[in-house]
Amino acid sequence: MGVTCVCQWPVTESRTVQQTVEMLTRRIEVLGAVKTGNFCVDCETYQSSVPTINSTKLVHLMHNSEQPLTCFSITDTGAFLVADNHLEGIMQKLKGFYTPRKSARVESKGQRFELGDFLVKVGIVSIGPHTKGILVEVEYTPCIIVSDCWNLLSEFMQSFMGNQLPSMPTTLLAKQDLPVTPVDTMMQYLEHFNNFKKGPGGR
Amino acid sequence: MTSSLPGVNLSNLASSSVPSLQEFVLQGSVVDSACDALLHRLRALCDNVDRAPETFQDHEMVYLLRTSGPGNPVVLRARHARDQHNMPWNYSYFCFDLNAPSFFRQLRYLGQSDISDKSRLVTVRSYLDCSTSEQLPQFLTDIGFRLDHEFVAKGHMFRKGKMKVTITKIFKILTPGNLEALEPLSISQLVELSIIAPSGTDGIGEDMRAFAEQLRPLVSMEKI
Amino acid sequence: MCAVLFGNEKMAADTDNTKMLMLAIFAVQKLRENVNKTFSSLHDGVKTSTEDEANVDGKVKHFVTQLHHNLCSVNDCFSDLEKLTSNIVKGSQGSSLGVTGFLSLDPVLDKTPMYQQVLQSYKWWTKLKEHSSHASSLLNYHTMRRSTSILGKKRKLQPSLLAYSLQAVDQLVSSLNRQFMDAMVITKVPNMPNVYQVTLGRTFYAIVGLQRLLIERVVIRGQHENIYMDERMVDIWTPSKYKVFQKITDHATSAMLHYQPLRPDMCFFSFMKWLHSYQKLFCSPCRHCGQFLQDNLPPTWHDFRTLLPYHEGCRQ
Repeated sequence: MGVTCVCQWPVTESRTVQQTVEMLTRRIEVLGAVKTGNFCVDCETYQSSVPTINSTKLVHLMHNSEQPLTCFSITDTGAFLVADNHLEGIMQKLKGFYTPRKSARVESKGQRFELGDFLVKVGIVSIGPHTKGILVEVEYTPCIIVSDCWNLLSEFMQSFMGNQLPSMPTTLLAKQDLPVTPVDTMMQYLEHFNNFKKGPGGR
Repeated sequence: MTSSLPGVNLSNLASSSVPSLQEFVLQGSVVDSACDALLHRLRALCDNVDRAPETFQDHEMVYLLRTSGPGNPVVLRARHARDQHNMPWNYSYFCFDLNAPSFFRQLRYLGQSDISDKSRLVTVRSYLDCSTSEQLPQFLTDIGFRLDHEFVAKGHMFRKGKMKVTITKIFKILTPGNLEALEPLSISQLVELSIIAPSGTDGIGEDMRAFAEQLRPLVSMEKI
Repeated sequence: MCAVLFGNEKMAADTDNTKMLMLAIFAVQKLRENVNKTFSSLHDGVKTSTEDEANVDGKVKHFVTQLHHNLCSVNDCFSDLEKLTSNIVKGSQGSSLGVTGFLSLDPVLDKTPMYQQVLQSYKWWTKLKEHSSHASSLLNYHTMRRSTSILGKKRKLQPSLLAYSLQAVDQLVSSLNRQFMDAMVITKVPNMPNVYQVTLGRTFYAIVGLQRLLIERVVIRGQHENIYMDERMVDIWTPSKYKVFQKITDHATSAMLHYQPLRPDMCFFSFMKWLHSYQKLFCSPCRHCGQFLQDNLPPTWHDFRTLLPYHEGCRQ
């Protein structure tokens, strides 16, 4: 687990999502990266159904294939909990209070690459059956302090992203000098997922 | 992280494959003065005779989520061990403070006891256990739970096959937040036999009753 | 019967004390048997019936002789037993268990943790025995090769090195700790003598194995990698799973050889100073090419003299 940056990759008018992913994959493989299987990050949203809890409260349950036995739970106010998969069972016990939002399952699925100590994941984001866009995740595994290795990470991302280089994600800005945890990665994914939900429909 | 992910079924990450478990329980109590005798008997009856009995010291916080109308509130119990110092490695970035209490929290759901079948020998209730990170209290508060009460449980634990036997002394917390100033709740200790098994498992009640018989006359174990 | 026993006992006395004990037990049994017989005949009394009144006198006489006879045999048995007991050697009653044999006499055994401790140490002892026997067989197997190579190289501890006591090492370590302030912390590892953990900020940690002041083993791992092998022991062998730390481990090994010809305390000091230069590993670019990455690695090579960072391919 190291410093991770998740960013959206734009899909231009001239290419489909699939073609863009293929283009990215080629660029990464030219650098010498090795395919090491698939990955998946998903998010299910529960909504409060009881009026006593003022305004609707959202609880997101997320999974990451990198930590397959872990369930990340993040609320809309930013409280979070890392737990084992039994947390879902407990959420089901709260069904009088929290109900899963219909068709609100978001996931990012794709291939995972390794290049030295770097991990690159290119995922296609879909909400229910609809494809929404592309998220690229880059991780520098040996380092856990953002301020230490952000420049190094930027230099690496530039090698295949060119001028699409992202700026530092807000989640990481807030804790540059603290060690990162898997939750920070999930927070970034959640932010992007929410943007996709708000944004215009995919193609 | 690991380079490959063998055995990870990607489509299955979010499946609700949580098994439906039940807890089979018998409870009793023993006065402090008879506790030693009971410990001796349990040591002889249970597994790992050659080892000193395992001790524990837990802090339990009981949270409620109420509805405005009728209907039972949901109860969740958050527990954490105060005497376990084996930290998970990923929290030990900068220092190895071996005296720090454990970071793990335990979240437990216990259903109402199932009273549909009067002929049952032991209490049966649905059970779900989940280990979580240390943010558990904040998280529960954030999703609407309120702290109902809290206590410290100290005691001994024994195992006999699948069965767990605990002898617990319950302590009141005199000032909230200070776990050092404790006061015993009573002059007796809680004795609990429990087995966690998938729902519908047969024969557990008989086994537990047979074991409970061997503790007579020190304790008499009852359905709650 | 008694005479036979007695004779046997004479012979056995020379051979075995336990046999003697057996005989004594037999003698006690015999004694009890005779006493029983005496009392039961006393209890029965003189049997008389109306028919043979004339015979009463004879019967009484018979009873008295019987009683006399019984008492005599009881007396014999008793004196036999006494002789036997005086022959038993006293000192040997403590068995092979030694002092632990007395444990069984402790009435409050259940209250003390003695039993568990004895059991535990017994387990450890058997384990130790097993391990040492394996080790000795392995070492025996390699005797030839080891001895010849040692003779050939004459690899010996420098005499100056032996002059450093353990306290001197501790002093050096604490002075280094003062010098590097919080940036680098050298701590002793629990349960292992001569092994130190060097924590370099939040960049990495190194496990350094020493022989007095001579550095014998260095392994470098990421801050978030496992340091303990099990609950007690620090893992000094497993290499890091990250390429960058594997590389730095290699460089550290060559650094430790590079500084070796110096005076031992200087060598230790220079090595630690060199290690300290890795503090900004991830955020300092290569001095030669100005880039952060080459072959997807940061500048892992730090010059032994100038301590400046270079990529492995950029060093001159």
